[in-house]
Amino acid sequence: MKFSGGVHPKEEKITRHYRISVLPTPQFVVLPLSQHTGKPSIPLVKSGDYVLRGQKIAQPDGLISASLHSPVSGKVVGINEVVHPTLCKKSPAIFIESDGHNKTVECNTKYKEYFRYPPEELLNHIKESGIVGLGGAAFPTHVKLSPPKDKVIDYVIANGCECEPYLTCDDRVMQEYALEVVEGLKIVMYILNALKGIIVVEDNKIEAYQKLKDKVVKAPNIEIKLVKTRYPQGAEKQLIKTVLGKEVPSGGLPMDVNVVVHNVSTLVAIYNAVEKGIPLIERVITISGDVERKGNFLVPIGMMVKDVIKFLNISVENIKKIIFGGPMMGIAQSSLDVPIIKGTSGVLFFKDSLKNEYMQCIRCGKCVMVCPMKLMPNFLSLYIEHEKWDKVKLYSPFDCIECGCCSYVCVAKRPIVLQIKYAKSVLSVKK
Amino acid sequence: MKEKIFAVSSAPHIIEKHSVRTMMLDTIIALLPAGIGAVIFFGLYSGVLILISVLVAILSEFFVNILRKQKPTVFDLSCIITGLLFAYTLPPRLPLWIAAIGVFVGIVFGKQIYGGLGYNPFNPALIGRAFIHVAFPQNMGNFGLTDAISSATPLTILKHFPEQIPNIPPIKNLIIGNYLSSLGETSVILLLLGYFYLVIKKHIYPYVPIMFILTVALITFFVDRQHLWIYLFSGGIFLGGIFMITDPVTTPVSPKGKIIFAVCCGILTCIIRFWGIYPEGVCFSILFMNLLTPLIDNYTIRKKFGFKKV
Repeated sequence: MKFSGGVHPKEEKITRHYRISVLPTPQFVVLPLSQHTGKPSIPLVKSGDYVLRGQKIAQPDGLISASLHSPVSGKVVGINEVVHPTLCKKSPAIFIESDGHNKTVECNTKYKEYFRYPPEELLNHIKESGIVGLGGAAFPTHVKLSPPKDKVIDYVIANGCECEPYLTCDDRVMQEYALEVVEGLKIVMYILNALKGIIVVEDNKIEAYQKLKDKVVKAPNIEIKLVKTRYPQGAEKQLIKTVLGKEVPSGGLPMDVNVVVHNVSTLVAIYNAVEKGIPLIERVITISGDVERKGNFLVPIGMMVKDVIKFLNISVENIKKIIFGGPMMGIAQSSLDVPIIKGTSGVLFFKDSLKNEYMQCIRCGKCVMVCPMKLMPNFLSLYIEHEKWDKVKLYSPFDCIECGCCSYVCVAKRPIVLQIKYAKSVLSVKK
Repeated sequence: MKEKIFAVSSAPHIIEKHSVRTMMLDTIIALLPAGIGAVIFFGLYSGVLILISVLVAILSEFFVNILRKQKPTVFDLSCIITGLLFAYTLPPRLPLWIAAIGVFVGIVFGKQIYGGLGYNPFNPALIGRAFIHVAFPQNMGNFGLTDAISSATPLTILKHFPEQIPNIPPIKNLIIGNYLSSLGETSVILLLLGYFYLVIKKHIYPYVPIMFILTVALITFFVDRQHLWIYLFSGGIFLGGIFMITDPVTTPVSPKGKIIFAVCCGILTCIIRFWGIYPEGVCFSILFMNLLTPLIDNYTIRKKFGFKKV
């Protein structure tokens, strides 16, 4: 059953055949303390400390938070402020200068045979490894893996949709780390005591589908599904609707319909943490857009964009816009002085800054047709523009998943998503 | 190296190429076949009538722009559609000056006075048409050159001259368009070409015109089964159903609202046709329903995702 609405922008998956290559270690890495949804981590190191690669340098603050590890060996320069790529404001971060040796801490391979240990212990280990959702929202994984006692999880869905145009990092991860994806899924299913695992891949990633299919043959409780390419297929609620035909209730979570969704890259990170004892210190990102040198690269978390373009010889002379994430939901950066964080799935460079004057709404209803949450973006946009908040509430702005379909199709070029984001912040303050 | 500052904006960073102008352009393209048909069936004068209507529409829009000291809004092309739609509802021999007055009233008092495109509660073409319909009834009823009977459209014959019913052209002619009627209403086939074009371009919901036509067909079937095809294929059912009921600005936004709108228009059209004083009711039924659009909008807020209990 497919979800209603959605759009199909030009895919532009130019880099889908580019093998993942490793970028050299930069001289400096910058690790913002807020890499995830929830409270920022608390630093465990101070200026002048020597840290090893994989050493824990910050611990979670409270339940919804995550640990942080050093991706290089070297000296902590200090805890200073840096422009945060998703919060778009200065935020504290740990600066580390690499000594170039990449001396690694001893890996904790105790959980190699994970099924001999109780789920709680594995959960703690995943929490210690600082794993967060790598699809973009960066929600701490251990929180998703510990549902309240009264919620039974039947299905674990591995999200390999990657519906955003340009991005191909998940595609490459599935092709090159198919075994790790499946094993990671098994670990998650073990922890949640789930009956069934479903890997979902969009039909524009047929190679990844084939690779994964070869691997799941031996696992009777894991199924793989090919779904039609459509944006936003990778959004949790839409994915569950497509795969299982269930609607997550408004304001609810996937666990309310007995489902947990994890991105495929997150599953690989879980596999690495549990079987190899490697915490989350690097990730695959896609470099694409209007630049010569494109590709999928394994980069240490905390690497600055200016270092990335230096290594890749990318000239930004003609580039007007730099985006972290995909073009539909990604965040534009004002400078090259921003670090790559755990949730960064790609860095896109665009020649076009896309400036548009917007017009009055002509009520064509195209936004209503494409809204995957079945809202009425035209009325939201109209009432938000005139700040009629009582009316705005009638049209449920908080159900908006900010996928951008409405702004994408709007013939009057109205910035509907931006307006809804604004309404959410205004209304949550008013409450 | 000097620090470079890049452009920032909110997502999405790619958008579809459509704009209001391209959407209006598509509608104009969809309207063209019927206009060409009018020139073929009724001669060059009807072409002049259409051109004058469009020209006056553009000039009126420009005139208001000057009065309101705003940027010219002519380039969104919506006034051309108003001009075309207005001309298509006229009898083929209407004096040019009446057409000019009608379209001026439509643009100025039907659209611009409310703030222009997007804010007008009524279809401006129909406002213009309704105005001259009431102001110049003699001219608007005159479809031919000689007496009242030979200049009657099939619908007028059905309403006022039952003895002339055998003289109504055969159904084939009504579908192709070779008979006496308003300029653009004449050919069902040419209007359907426009319909398919708009559906392919995804500018209209395909089922909205269908619901309207079905409603009219159903009621007509029970009232006057014998002349069902004449009621359907002559008059403004197809022109109104394809181009006016689907007008984005003056009709409800939600899919459910659009259906309610179309069905109510169909019912009202039949009421006016069978029990009112006018032979044709499309124009007034749409205008009346335009009035109810905000009300329908208020009662057809979509059920959001995840609303139903699982």
